[in-house]
Amino acid sequence: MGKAVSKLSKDEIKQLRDRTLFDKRELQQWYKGFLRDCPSGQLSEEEFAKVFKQFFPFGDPADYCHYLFRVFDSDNSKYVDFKEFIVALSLTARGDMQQKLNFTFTLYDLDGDGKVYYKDLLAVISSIYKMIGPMVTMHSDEATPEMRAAKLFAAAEKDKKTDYLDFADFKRIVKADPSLISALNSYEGLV
Amino acid sequence: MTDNSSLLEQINAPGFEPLECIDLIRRHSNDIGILFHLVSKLRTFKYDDVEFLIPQLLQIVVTSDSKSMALEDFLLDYCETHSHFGLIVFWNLQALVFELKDSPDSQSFQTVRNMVNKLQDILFNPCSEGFNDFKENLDPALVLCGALAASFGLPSIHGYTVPLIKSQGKQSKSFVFKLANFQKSLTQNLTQKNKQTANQARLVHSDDEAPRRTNTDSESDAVKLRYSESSARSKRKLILTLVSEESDQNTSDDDEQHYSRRLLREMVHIDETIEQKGIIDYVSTHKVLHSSDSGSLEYSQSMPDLLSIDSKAKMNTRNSRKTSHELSPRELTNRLAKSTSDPKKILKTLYFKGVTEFILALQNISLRLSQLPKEARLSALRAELTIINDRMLPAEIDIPQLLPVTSTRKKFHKLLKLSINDACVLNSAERVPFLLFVEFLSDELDFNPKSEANKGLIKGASTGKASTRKEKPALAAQPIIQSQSFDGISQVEIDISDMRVSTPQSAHYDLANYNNASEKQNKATKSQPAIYNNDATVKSRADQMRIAAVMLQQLESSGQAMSEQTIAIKERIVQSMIDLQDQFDSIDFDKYNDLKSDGLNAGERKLENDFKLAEDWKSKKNRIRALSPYGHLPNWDLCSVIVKNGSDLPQEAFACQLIAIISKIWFKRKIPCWTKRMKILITSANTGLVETITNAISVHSIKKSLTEHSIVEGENVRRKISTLKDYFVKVFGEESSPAYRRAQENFTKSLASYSIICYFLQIKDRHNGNIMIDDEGHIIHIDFGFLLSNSPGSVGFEAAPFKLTSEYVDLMDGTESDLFQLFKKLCTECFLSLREEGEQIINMVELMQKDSTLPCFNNGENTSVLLKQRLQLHLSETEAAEFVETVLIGKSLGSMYTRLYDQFQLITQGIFN
Repeated sequence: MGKAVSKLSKDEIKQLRDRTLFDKRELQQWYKGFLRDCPSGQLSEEEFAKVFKQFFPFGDPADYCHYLFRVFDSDNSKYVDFKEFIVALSLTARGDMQQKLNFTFTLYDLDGDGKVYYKDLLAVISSIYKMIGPMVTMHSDEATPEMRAAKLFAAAEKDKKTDYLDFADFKRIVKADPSLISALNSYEGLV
Repeated sequence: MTDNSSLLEQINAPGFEPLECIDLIRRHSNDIGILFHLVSKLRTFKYDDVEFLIPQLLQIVVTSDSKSMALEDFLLDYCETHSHFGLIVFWNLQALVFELKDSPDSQSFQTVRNMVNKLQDILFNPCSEGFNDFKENLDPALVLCGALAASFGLPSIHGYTVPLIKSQGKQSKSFVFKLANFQKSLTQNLTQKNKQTANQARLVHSDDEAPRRTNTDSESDAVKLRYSESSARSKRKLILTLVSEESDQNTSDDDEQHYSRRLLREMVHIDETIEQKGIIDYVSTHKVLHSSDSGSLEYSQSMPDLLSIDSKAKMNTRNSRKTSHELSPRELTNRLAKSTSDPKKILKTLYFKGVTEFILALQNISLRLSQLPKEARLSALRAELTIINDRMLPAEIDIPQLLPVTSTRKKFHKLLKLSINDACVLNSAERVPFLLFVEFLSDELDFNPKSEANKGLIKGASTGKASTRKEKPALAAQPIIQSQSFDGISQVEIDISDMRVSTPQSAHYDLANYNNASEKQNKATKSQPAIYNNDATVKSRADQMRIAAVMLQQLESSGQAMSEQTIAIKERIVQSMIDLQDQFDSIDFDKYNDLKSDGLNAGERKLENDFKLAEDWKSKKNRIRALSPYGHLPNWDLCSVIVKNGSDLPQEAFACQLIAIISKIWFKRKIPCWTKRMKILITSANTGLVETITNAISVHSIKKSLTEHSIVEGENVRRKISTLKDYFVKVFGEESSPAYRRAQENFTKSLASYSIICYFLQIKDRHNGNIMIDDEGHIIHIDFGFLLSNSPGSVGFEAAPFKLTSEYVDLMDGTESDLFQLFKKLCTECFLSLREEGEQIINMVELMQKDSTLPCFNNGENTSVLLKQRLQLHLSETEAAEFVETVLIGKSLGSMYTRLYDQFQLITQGIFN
């Protein structure tokens, strides 16, 4: 809103070049794009959810957005700013498997203690199923969020009632599952 | 939050129709996810149904200020995979650019221009890499992060998200939305710089290429006029001059250099095609842009500018040209061969170039003819066609939509030659449409890079040794008149001094080219049948004719009062042209004379589609086949089209679409109605090709020839004008004969169909020149210059719901007959079904009327409202049936207006009623 600054300062660039896999020109371009699409420079959860509703019109992305927004908003300011956005984009679009998984893990680790209990996992998976709606046909052995969550616990050889999944479990599950590896590589080279 | 589940159900239902889809696309043009799903649905429809709806799809792209890329993506993708689709979209876009030229700042204009740029790259650039990069768009980037994080919970989510994110990522939005004024001057400087480099590039280029004759006149012209109104034209001329000089140069080149140059010229040529087709429009908008200071900022900075792209292309060409002097030609060839990796793509590029050049050449003929006095037009037409035959045909090209459908979508027809002695000029003074007969081989071509013929072509394209003769500079590259018809402004251009400059040039160019061509010809004759033996003479005749035509133009456009002397000169030229006109086709003259008695008519015809009664399509085809050097080939075929120009073509095409949709509704409901599916191919805002109806004659000519005939035969002592019934008896036999009965029934069915259509769409100007009868007795309406909200003249002559003359009624054995009962029954059924399913038509009109400048939408948003009113939806079904009988049929029956209108036409136009 009338913000005159449409360029990142040298310091900001330097800082972001350390934290992302974007070069100087790309950072400036993305910054311009960010300000064009979000002139205030700060993205609220409501605006965030609107975007997802546009992309997932046949489902209900509200719950998922709530979880996802939390991952973006790393400083807990209730807004996503450019830095938070570009870091997230760098991790997901350009990061290696470790970085992508890191970002993913944060999503499911609702209280941030490094432990994903069954109910946490179920809550997030439910929100994903709700978001996509009928647009993807599920495998019969994971037709419901419960089945999918249970399947993941089983894959990690953990008891869904008592155990939890940690980051190492996530890594093991992904390593053993080619469909997960290719899913995490879906946007390779796009951005 | 709205629930879209019922919408999804509707979309995924098995009976979901293309028209329904289009309507939803229009309504949801801003809902990214919904639109994406709808558009992906388009891919599941039959190809022909989608091709049919190209104008609507483009209209949505243009009129909706959409954030979604889905539809544009889809169109470009189809353009790439389906060649005809690509051409049709390309031509329709040309038309849209022209329509939007007055508001270059509008979102619509920018969308179209952006799309034209991309499409040109797809069609004409063999090294095109597509547009798949992800631009800095926040929304798809956010969704990308979200989708990736969801992988763990639902790995299959990406089947849905990947295409959507990729598509939205492509969106190129402007970064400079509302920047301060100080940038304006900067932008302007930049644009000017661009233009300068463009011009410089061309100038250097010309120095490079033709040191012996740099055309200083046009150079200084170009510099002087660069920012003036006429910069478009001078620039154009400059380009054209260069082309001609290049071809001069070629004749003297040694072989190897020649080939590499030719290859490069091919590339420049692509540019030219684009320029010739597009730049007039673009530059004219540019002009507008420069004259208005405000608001032009975003336009020039944010979008890839066509002119600057063009200048870049020129620069590149120039650079590679420079290198061509340093590198050996072979090295260069290799280099280029490597850069074009996909041989199929090369074939397609050649095809696109060929077709667009060919069509452009046809259009230009029509423009040039309009500059000539009537008497000379036919001769000039034949000369022009001879030149096209010589330079462009046969070639690996076809005509989309108008040729009969090929056996599979993978095969294309191949054009062989134009039948010159059968071509004729049709009526009308300012526009000169002409009728053309095209010989072609059906199912001859494909883009399979492995076939022998195609291998040759690919090799030809990458080494310059093109195996066909078509890469000779297009006919279009003539600096004659050209822009006249595009808009009023360019009238200025045609002054006598201009003509003096261009005349000797063009003549010279022609001659040089002929020499060039005949050299090649001699080489080519070995492999060809000996049909080109008399080519040299034919060509020099064509050439004489061309020169004569140019001279005539000069005389005509000099604007001076005709002195006796000029009139005498004019007459002499015209006479010599007429003497020459029948001698063009390169045919066996003995055979020709044998067949001549069949009734070859050299005169002008008065009305479109007005074929001589004596020669039906079949015998005409046989005759042309017998004379054709290609006639012995088993898949030889013939097709006729009308080349037309005039701004109402897009409207006519739309009318034909509506009629087709209405007929489909009736057909689906098994109502035994009948209409003729007419096809019109739009090739720019005011040019196009129109399908001819080969087995029908206009009611006007039926009456005229029958009346004349009966007078000559002494059967018509009182000189009565013959009726349709007389004609039916004459053609189909006794009133009681089965053939007559069948024809009568056909007439009734088609009459009922067209009657309801004429009422519903308010098709006007229904005089007998616009109504035809085919060889089975069907009535066919043609020429839809007036419908929905416009009518000819302000006088409400045609106030009747539709045309139902007493003559028609007589042909149905009077109002008490069974046939007339059938007529009434069909009219009612047709009308009632329209009431039930007319929503489709109303939606369609609603879509097309938005921001449209077509005259049929003069009433603006009211057009569709009035259309809906005509369905009388407030009436019950019984009331509606009664409405048909008493109001529609009753009123039409008694109408004096229709008769008055026919009389009016007879008096003013000499059209028989």
